[in-house]
Amino acid sequence: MPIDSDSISSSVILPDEKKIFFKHIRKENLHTLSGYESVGGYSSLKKAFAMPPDQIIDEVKKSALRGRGGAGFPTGSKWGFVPFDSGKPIYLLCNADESEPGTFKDRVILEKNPHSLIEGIIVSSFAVRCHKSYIYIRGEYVHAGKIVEKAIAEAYAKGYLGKNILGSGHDLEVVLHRGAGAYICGEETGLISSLEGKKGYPKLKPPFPAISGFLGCPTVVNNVETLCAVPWIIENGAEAYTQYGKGQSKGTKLFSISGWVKTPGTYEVEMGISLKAFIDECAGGMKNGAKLKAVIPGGSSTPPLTASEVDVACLDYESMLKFGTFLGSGGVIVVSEHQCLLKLLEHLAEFYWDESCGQCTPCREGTGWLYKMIKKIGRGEATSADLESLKKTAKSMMGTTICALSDAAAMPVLGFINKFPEEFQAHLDQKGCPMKQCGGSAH
Amino acid sequence: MSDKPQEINLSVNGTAIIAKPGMTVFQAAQTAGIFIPHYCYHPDLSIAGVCRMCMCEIEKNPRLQISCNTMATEGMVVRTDTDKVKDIVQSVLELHLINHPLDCPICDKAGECKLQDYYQEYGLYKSRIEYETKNHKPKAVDIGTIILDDERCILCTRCVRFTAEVTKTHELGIFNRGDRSILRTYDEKPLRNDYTGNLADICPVGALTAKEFRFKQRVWFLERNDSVCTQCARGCNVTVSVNPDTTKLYRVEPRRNPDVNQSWMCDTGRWNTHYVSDANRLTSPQKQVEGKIIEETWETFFKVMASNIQSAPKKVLVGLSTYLTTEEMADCLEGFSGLGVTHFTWIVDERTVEDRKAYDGILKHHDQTPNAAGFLQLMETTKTSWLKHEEVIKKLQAKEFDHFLLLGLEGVTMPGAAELLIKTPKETSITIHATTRVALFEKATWLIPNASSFEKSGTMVNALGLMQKLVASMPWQFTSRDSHAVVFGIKEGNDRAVSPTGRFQTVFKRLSDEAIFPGARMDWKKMPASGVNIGVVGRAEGIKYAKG
Repeated sequence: MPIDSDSISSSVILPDEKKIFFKHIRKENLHTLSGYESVGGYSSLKKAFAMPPDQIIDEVKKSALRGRGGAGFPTGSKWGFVPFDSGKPIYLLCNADESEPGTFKDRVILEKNPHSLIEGIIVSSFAVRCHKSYIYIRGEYVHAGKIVEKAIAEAYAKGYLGKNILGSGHDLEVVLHRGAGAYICGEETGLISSLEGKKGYPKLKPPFPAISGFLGCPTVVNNVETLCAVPWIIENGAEAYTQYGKGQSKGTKLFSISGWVKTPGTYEVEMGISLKAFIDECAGGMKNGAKLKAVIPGGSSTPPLTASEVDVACLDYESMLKFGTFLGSGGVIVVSEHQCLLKLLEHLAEFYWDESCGQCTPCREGTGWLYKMIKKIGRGEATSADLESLKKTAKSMMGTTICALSDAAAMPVLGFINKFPEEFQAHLDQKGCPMKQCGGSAH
Repeated sequence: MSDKPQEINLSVNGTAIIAKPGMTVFQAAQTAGIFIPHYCYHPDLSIAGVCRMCMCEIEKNPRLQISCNTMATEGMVVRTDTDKVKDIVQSVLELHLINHPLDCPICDKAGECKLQDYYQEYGLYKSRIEYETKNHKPKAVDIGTIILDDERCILCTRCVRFTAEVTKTHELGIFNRGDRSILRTYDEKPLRNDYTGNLADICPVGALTAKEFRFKQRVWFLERNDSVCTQCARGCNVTVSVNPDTTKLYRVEPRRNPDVNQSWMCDTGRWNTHYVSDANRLTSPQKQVEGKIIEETWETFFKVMASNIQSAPKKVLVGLSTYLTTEEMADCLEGFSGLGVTHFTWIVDERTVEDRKAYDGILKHHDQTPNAAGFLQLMETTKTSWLKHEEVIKKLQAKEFDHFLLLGLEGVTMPGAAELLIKTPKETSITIHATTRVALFEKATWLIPNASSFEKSGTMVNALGLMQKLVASMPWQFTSRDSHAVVFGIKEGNDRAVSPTGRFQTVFKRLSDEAIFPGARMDWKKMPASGVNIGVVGRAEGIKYAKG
């Protein structure tokens, strides 16, 4: 289903003209080539093609742009790892497999402004000497997929893609590849495996994708939002970009907010703003005047913040670390007093149990165990020994697997237990869910 | 490349180790005898890194690393004995076991299962599992020569990698995801390669068991002997398991030798062993007169044959099967030459020996006998003249021979024997020394029982020019005798001589002392299990064999 334009609200904090991604997001035909060109689209190409590729990489390094997929790794550094003299083709893969629960920011770009992604891919591919790029889009994004496909065709027709783009000598093919509905294919190397036609198993590192990735060739995998930021940086300069944000968190960022708020949606804000202000001003505050109980700040795998932490936390990488959590993919989930946290955790645990690829033992077996134990607590059949057992198992899943899915499953469990011990205790003491929301079957 | 270091110094658990460049921490530790528990790692397969058992702590790295995929680097300080590592190994083991059945008493892998072994070594925790919430998966799935039990499978993917990397037949894959993952053949079709037995060997648990062996014998009743396979010219190194109480052969498994067979062997070599104890095994000397079988004694045979040969030794043809050990061949050459015999040939399919490079691309050579290279080496170094089959057939047809002795035939295929037997005129009396009666032998006057390769010791020289040890795993079955005993008896003309067990050692020493095998010169006991390269005459050059 297409997103209702009205739900994409302008942030009260960042005026439209200062936005990087959403400056023209309300424009009716922005997703078409003419619509995009009418607001100055593809204008960064001329400047980019006039620059030596290394200078583009330097500029991106200077901008301190960090990967927006969740890990927050500096993009320029990532590009810098690619060996340009290996004699092998270099691939740029766009990760559009947005599947972290609570995250729907890339979807807005894909559906509303697909040409900005293509422009980002062209500039980035020029920087990393790539001539073939794939957009790996989440299988469930059927509508977005159609729009992107159309946009790619338009770009080819207009000469923005293909041979000798705008007479620059740079060739680039872009192919849209649809996933088949697996969370793990959003993991960098799982995505590569899937694109290679294999089962979406994450790959052992080393070797890292920059050295040996897609088809054994040097590969850069970047998130949609990351790539979309590149043309702006090239056009306006790294210095202009670093005017936004603070500390190690520069630029603007898209946050998708959902849960118990009045106006859920995707908002572009400057990094480092107050989380509380973001919830109140962008998302209209709590629905029905309910009390805020917790916030999951960066997608379902990030540990939660308590209400008092929400009051002081800021939307930047450093602030989140201070509270033992992460900015992640920017999927903010707001939880109210009317929701049982154990039930919420049960949903998350079920998700990770279902999505574990099953390669590594701790994740394959651990995710299932976490899910069963959480259900047991929810049913009121658990003892405090079970709670300890749950913690022990979650800890043994941290940092012990090929990819981070295992950590992603364990982190919220440990986070909820650490920050909301009273909710767990209540389930043990009352031998059931105080809010009568929990209670799954044993299997 | 010249600035690359030739050696890497690191320490594992305080032990200083000098590793070769390119070695992983796991391999480096192994060279120093430090064992790191593992399920998915296999020396002859690619690294999967999925079992997560081989965790180690590396100084200055806050995160534990898997030792199988971590390169050893200069100055690295590795520990596998810290509490942090022990805790994680125990946790990972516990996770391996949470959905695993706890019915070891009825599992055929019991006694050689790595889950059992590691639980004793690294586990011994109190179970936190409620058995009623365990996952259940299909059991006893027939995938051809192997039975698969998904519930016991720990998804280490060794078998998947084996069919992808060694046989390149890609029959196996992991289907579904997460803890619903199951191992399956594609399209549910049976395995279709000739190396399937290795799957049961490399399965660290009871998930893949061979139909030929499962539920036949508890492994703790078996006695294991290191030997070589004799079913082709590769000479794969094997371990032979026999129950010493019943002297029954139960299992032949590959023994790792990176220069010969890595960790593998073919199904033919592994399972084509029924002839050792089946109903067609020759149990005593027999005389065949006009289609009638008369049981005879060795005494009679020796007496008759001694006089036959002594009366006209030049009219005797001796065929030495290339199943014989080099020592048996040497003993026969010496013994029969001493009796005045001048015509020798070999019993082998000559077409398969012409190109000894010919093999299936993995291990199996077209020459299905183990010691053609030994025969050639012996003939060359002792300067014995011998006949190729073309000449043999000419002479046979010209009725130049009164007696044709075929010594040391084994099994049911006996490559090369058929054509010679068919071309032998009825005027020539045939004596066959074989393990097994086959239809082809109707023409023979004498059938004398041969000891199988599992019942004798000696050396075999494989197509790669390696002299390797064949070691007896059981005594001569029934009244069978090896060729040492046969030539000895014929020489003496009676059966009074004690069975010359151990004669091979005398001959081996002689061959070694007389430098018949250049570079051999060693005593039997000190000969390495991996074989000795003796630079064989006419050895197959440039043979390439499966490498990882």
